[in-house]
Amino acid sequence: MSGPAARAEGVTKVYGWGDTRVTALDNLSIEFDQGVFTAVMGPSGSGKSTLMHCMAGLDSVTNGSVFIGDMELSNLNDRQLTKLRREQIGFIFQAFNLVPTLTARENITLPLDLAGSKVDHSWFDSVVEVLGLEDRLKHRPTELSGGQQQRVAAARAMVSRPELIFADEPSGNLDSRSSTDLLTFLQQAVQDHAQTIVMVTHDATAAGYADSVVFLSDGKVVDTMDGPTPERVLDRLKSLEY
Amino acid sequence: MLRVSLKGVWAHKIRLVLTALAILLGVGLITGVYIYTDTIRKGFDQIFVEAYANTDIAISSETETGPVGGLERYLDEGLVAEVDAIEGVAQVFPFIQGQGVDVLDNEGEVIGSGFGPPTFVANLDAPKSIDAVNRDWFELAEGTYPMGWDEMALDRATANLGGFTVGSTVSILSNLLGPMEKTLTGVVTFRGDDTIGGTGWVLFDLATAQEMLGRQDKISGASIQVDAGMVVDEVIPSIESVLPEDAVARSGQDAAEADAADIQTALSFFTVFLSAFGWIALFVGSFLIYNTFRIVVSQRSRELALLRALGASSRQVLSIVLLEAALIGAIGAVLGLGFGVAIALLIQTALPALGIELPEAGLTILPRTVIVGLAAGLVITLLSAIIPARRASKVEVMSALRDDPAGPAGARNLRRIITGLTVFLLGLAALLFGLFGDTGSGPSPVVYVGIGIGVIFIAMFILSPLIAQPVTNIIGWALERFSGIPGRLARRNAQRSPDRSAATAAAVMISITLVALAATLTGSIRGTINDIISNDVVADVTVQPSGLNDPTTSFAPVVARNLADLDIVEDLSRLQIGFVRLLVDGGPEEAWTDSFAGGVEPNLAEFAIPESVEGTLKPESGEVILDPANAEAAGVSIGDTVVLEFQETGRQSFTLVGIAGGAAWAGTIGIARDDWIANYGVEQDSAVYIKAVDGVSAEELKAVVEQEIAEYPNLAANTIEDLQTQAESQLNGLLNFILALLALAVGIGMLGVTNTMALSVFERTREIGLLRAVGMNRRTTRWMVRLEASIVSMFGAVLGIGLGIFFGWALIRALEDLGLSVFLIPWLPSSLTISGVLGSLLFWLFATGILGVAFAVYPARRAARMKVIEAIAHL
Repeated sequence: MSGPAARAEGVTKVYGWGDTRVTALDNLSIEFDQGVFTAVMGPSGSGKSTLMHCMAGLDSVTNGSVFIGDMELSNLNDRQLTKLRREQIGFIFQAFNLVPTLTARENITLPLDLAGSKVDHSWFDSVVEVLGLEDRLKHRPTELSGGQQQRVAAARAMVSRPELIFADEPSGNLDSRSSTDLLTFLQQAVQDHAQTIVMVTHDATAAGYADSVVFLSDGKVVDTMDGPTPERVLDRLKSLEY
Repeated sequence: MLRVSLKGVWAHKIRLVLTALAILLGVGLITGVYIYTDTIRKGFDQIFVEAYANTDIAISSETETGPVGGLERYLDEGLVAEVDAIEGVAQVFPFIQGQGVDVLDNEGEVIGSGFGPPTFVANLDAPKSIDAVNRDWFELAEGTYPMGWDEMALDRATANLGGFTVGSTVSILSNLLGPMEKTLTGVVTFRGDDTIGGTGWVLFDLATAQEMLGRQDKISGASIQVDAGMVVDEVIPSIESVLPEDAVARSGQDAAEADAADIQTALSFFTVFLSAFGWIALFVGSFLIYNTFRIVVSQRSRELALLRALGASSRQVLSIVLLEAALIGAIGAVLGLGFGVAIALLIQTALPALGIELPEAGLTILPRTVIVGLAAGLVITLLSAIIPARRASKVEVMSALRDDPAGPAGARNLRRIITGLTVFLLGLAALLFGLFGDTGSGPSPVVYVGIGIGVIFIAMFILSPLIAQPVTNIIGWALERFSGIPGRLARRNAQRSPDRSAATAAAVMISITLVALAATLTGSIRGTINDIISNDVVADVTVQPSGLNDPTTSFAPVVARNLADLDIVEDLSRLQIGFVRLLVDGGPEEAWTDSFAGGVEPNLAEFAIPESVEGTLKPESGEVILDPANAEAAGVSIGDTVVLEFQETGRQSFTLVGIAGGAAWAGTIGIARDDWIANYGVEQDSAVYIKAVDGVSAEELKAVVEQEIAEYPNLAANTIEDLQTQAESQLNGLLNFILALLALAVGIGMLGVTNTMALSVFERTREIGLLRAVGMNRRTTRWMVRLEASIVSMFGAVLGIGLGIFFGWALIRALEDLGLSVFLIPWLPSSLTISGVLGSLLFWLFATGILGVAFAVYPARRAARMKVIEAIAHL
């Protein structure tokens, strides 16, 4: 492995002015290694979503630098950031992940279509097969169950073989069965294809699927944990919240 | 509740602005036309009051205004002495007035030709006593009164245009007597103004004016002053006792009012025609308003359901939405009144720049204008909002709060088809009845046609969601080929709510229907004319008055006599055209129809070939030929007696010897040339058809004829190609004029696209954020929105072009009697000029697509500028 897939160096993010001024990230530094499934945890307002947005180039930082591979994001304009997002980053959001007018297949290939690049059919087929979506490809999102929708989103994140995937509470809206399916898939993508995944979650069970957990509080990294289990994560979280 | 409405309006400012704008533009055009025509009318009223200020009693022939201007008869000059002899009459000032003289400038060109107001011939006699003026109309500003054959006076505006001063020699051209020169002895003004509405006035003493008009011993009327102490109303009966049946004596005041009423009739056509385009704009706007409220109500259904859950009755919810509509309508209407004033001021400044000077008073804003403007804005907004408002009030509280999707579409579609088809058939029935039915004494056919077209629009609006899918598929497919992913997303977006796309497209459809109708009609007229000119006119060269004239414009008979003497001329045929009235068989007095008629020579049929002939084409004295439409109207067949009424000689009987149809055939009623001259009172020609001797080309003949008529700058020699070119350019001018007036309606339809797109972009904020997050750049985002607008606009254009062609076809079938024989769908430009391209339907299809892109610039920019995270967080 050659260096981290993404890193933040001394990143500060401040919202608002005067009385409404909020420091979401406070001089935070972190590295996400290649081929590792990292869970980012912390109580509400700890800055975990902000960190993800800044790392993904969706939001700018007030101070410090963010790198995807060797690329520093603050030097990029909107066009370059967009290109970066569709070529090197995959997203899985909590809900409303899919474009309602497009079929499942079209949603999966959307980043490639936007880039105007060719779909690697054998890769597409294997991703779809692993996710069990073969016979749902012609359906529109409204015709899919919540679990299927999230698996389509996962397939979309995988299909362009991005540098890393950001997942924002990907199982937050799912029942436990669907949730298990999705998280197992993410885990397997890391094991089989050395995919880098950063998952924001407040669910200790979900975090249990990750290789390592980063705990945030008040915009700072307060702890990390390798080889987490749900019980250890829960214990650590309790100590953070009180 | 008002507060809820006010907040609702404020929360959706774009909607407020665009909806109010649609009302503003429509109301503005309507009130602007009212204000301007009222202003002109008041100006004319003032002129007439002043013109008759010193006239106690006015005598004139009775004017009957018909669709082609009516017949005004001249009176015998002998009346002057008879009236003068009546007790109580102090002085009688006879006057004569007519047309038929042009003034030439130093380059030999006609002054004030073209679109401008006409030039009149009248008498200007020295006052017979010091305290009386001749006619109150004119005042001699410089020089002396013209006396005798060689002297004339001019209005100051014409004198200035020609660079003439008192003492100048002025070349004039008489339609009776040909070119001649006169000495300018005087210049007149009109109550201090150089011109009256831009008309030209060539003034002579009475005898000369009579001769110039070919009306020796005739007068148009007279102004009378009564002895001091006499009561006008007591003198009038004794004057009337000496007048012929068709002349009247009125007090000066009554005469001023009667003249003003004539102007009013002429202006009201202008008012109705122009304001129709304002009503069209409002009709288009009503679709925009309907759609806006529909979208906003569905966006707010949760909020409205919450109000219901908190105890608001469904009537209260209805009132909240309607109150919002009323607020927006009122704002739009009030601003529209202001815009109307601006439009009136604009016309007022623009017309003089085009050489049309009309008398004006200060801007006249009548209460009627304000009431109609405000009511139109308010009522149309409320009517358009009522269906969405009812839907809002019927919202099912729990399902709206849960955000349930709508029920199955099947049942609704069936109902839609049944309603739509029923409405369509009703509209079609009204349209066909107006076009082909016998409307009898009811409203004019135009009313039925207008209602029919309006109802068919509504039917199309109801039915169009059903075909939204396939049509947008085809358009979208083409765009997707061309643009890739933004095209695909645009097509899918255009299809996600067929109702919304169809309602948006409906507003575009209406304006494009009218554009396509205008293009189809002018295209078909062009086709008909070309057909006639190339097949039915066999003359090599025609000589006619140049420029845009009514067909009765005529010229001196000496022209044709000189042309006949040329060696190069094989044969020629002269034609005189004027108005007559045709008595419809056994009908009441009103059943007289005004019609063009002509004096024809026996050889005319060798130059202009009618399409259908029954009987003979060579009427002899006492015989008449009719076109099929007039023959049917008069209920006569060959051998029957036809009664015609002439300006000079009144009713005359003729025997019908022929029925000939086709637009090439001169006039619609033809009698022998000698009969025409006898009944019309003067010998003048309106057109001369010429054939060259063998071996001489039309161009060569034209060159020789042009030399021969060089002295007559108001005449033109044309070959058949020339006539085609002229017809083309006149039709293009007409089409451009109508398109300019329709531009407003097209613009409002396109504003509807802007509005829908803005609301849709707002609705899809989260989705756009998602697309941006997974890698859609700003450019693609913009094109996604623009192309959707383009697809919806072109959907409207497809419907509009289809309807326009259908309406055009129906109108042409109905107008077949007028000689419109060709139905031509102008898909492609008739020529590669701007006008030619503007007449092409394919151009409008693509132009609408491009306009869609242009009108979506603002929503597209909003979509592209969304902050990605905020958009994703948006619910």
